[in-house]
Formats: sequence, C-alpha cells, structure tokens
Amino acid sequence: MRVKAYRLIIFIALIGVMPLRSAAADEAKFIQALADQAISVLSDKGVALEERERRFQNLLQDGFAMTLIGRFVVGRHWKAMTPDQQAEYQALFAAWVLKSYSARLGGYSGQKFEIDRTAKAGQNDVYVRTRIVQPDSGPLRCDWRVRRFQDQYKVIDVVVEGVSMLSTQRAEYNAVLRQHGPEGLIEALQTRLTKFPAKAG
Amino acid sequence: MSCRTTTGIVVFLGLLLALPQTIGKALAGPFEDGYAAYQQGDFVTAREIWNLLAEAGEARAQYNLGIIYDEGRGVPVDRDTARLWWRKAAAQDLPEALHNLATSYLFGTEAKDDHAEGLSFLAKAAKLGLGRSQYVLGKIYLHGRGVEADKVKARSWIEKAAKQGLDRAQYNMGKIERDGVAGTADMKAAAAWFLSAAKQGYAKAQNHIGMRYARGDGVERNDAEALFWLTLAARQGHWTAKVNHDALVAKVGKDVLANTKRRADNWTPQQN
Repeated sequence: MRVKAYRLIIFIALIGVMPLRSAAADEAKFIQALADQAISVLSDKGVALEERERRFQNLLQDGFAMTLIGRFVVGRHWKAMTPDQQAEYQALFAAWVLKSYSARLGGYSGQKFEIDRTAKAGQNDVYVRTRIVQPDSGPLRCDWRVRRFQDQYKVIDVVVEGVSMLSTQRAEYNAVLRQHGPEGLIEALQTRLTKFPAKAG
Repeated sequence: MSCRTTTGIVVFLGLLLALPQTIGKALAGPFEDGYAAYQQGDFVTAREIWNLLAEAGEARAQYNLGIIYDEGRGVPVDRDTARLWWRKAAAQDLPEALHNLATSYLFGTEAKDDHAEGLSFLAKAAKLGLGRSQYVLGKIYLHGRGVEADKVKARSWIEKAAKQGLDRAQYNMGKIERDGVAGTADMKAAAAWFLSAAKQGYAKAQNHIGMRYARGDGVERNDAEALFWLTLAARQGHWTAKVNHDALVAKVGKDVLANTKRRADNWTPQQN
C-alpha cells in the first residue's frame, strides 16, 4: 500500500515536469516574442530611461489583458462602481501596473532571459516559467500566466519570486475599498501616481 | 577662401561642438555620475555612488536611493529602506522626498497603514509649495479621508495647486466653484477652471466643459464647442461623455460634425 502511494506521488510529480502539451509551446513562443521585443526596446541606450520605459509600457499594454486583470483585482466591488468610476479606475490601474512593472523589469542592462518550462494553470491557462539572469545578483524567477483570447495570447498574471501580482493587488485594493469605497480607491491610485521620479540634479 | 581660413573654421567648429561636453564633464560631480549610470540601467553603480553621498548627508542622493528601493531597481522592492532614505532627505526639507514619503503611507495601500504620518509629511511638502502635495492634501480634506473634512482648507489647498497648473486640481476647482464649496457658487469661474483642465487633456473636465457649452452654463451656448470637447473625452473612454456626445450628434448638422472631427483629429493637449 505504502509502495503504491509512493508510486502515485512519483507519477503526479512526473506529470508536473513532463513535456507540455503542444499548445503550451505557443504560449512560450508568445512570451519569448514579448521578451525579445522588450529587450530590443530596453537595450536602446541612446534614449533616456523614461523614454525606454514608456516604450516598454506600450509593449506591456499590448501583451497584458489589462481590463480583465483590473476587474479581477477589485472583485465584487466592480459592480458597486458607476461606469465612469470603472473607466477611471481601469485607466489608473493600468497606469500603475505598467509603471510598477517597467520599473522592476525595465532597467535592462544585459540580463539573460531564459524560458525554463511551461505548466498548466487551471482549466484554460498556461504558466510560462522564466528566469531573468542578472550578472550581479541571483536569477529573478518570473512566471507568466498566459491565456488565449480568440486568436491572441495575453498575460493575465505575473508571479515574481513566487509573489502573484494579482493576489497582492487584490488584497491591497480590497483593504482600501472596504475603508474608503470606490472613490477612495481612485484617489489612492491617483496619489500613488503622483510620486516623483529620481532627481537628475 | 584660403586653405588656412578653412582650417581655422573647422578647428573653431570642432571646439564649439566639444565645448558643451567639456563643460558638462568639468561641472558634473559624483551625483551626476550616479544619475548617468542610472540612466544607463546600471543601478548597481548608481546605488554605490549615491550610497556614499547619502551617507555623507547629501539629500538628493538620499532621495534617489529611496527611489531605487521603492521601485526595486536592481534590488528587491524594499519599502522600509526606501522610507528610511526618504526620511533622511525629508529631514533636510527636500519637497519631493516629503511627498514620496507621504504617498508611501497614505491610504494604507502599501506595506504599512499609517495615514496620519503620511498626512504630516504631505502637509509639510504642501507648505513648501509642491503642487502635487497641495492637491492631494486638498482632496483628503475635501472628503475627510482619515481626517475631519474641512472644506475651507480643502478649497485653499486645491486652489493653490490649480494655480500652479495641475489639471486635476483645476478640474476640482471647477466643481468647487460650481457647488459653492466654502464660498458662493460661481458658474463662470467653474467653466473657466473646467476649460483649463480640459485643454490639458483631462477627460472628466472635457466632459464637464462640453456639457457647459451644450447648456450655456457659465459660458455662451455653443453646440460646436460642446461637441468638440465631448468628442475628445469620449475618445479617451469617458462613458458619460460618450452618452452626451451621441445625444448631441443627433442635434447638429453634418458640417459641424465634419468640422469637429477634423478639429479633434488635429488637437494636442496643452503642456503644463
């Protein structure tokens, strides 16, 4: 009985690392293409960092299912928002996410982007597990949850070092929504976006 | 022209071209070297340079180190270390450090929820004249977010920020004048503020000024102007503006529609 249980565990573990279903290769290709474009934009040291990151943000905007993510993050509070609040929230959410991610991933200076493997995530999605190898510190583990929308793939979550963007933001935003309501969340996001960047002189 | 003269001109031009770089090098100090590395995405070098300066008490370096940790540039995001450096720069009254420090505490959206502490930093930055801080502080007083609502203080701070050209503050001044918050209602003043913010591209203000033109409220009625501003707001995804726009389209002639589309296509927001 004990031996059977071990076999079962080994079998489950093997499924986890088995070569993926062929479709998952497309998700990996999508992430690789996104990374290639990102590296090309971020390597252009002829333009200022802010401009490189602005271009990078445009890439992310296209590659992320931003509306779906934004809606998921506020959960049941979505229905309590007026259509104008929903539109304003979505715009601010996208601006904040893009700013955060371009800061975290934007400072590209020759790191290597490697795709490790892919794994099924839920019913419809695929995790593309990647590593960003940095010369001065350890590799940054970055998993991209990819979903197919009709004829194109979109990122619906990024898990950096085991921390999910969706889960973190959902917890943070719900705390604000409970205390200050939808207008409070909009003000909180507006406030975050007023942060000043690094000083040049 | 003789060969000597030509050579002279070439040398002169060469010196002229080299001059800004020479001056730049001569004047640039370690802080600027750190910024150059930062711009290149070499955050390790930037951090090392600014760390030395920050330890020696240089406020700008302390502030920039705060950015590096807050945004996780070449390091894991570390809000406590970011706050530590911003506090040091804030103690030297660097307004941006006070503002960023405030935003890291306000609304409790980040690691710590200490709204009151955030407010004290924000108030100091506002008093030092920082428009963004004045606006955020005004909004906090307007809605009583973690403080007792105070309409007089709200109006005063938002007006200061609006006069510095901040689009959101101008939009809020429009609403304050319209509703007579801490004063009497003034539709002309309201429309003027909405228009200022609309010209900078703020969708909510574009919807408001569009509707004011449609009704002749605080401005002379003008359907073409109304349609123009509503078009711009609707193009930015403003839901109510789209509804208002569609209702107005049915009332205006084809020539007005064509002209508005042309104007909207060629429009660019005013830079503040």
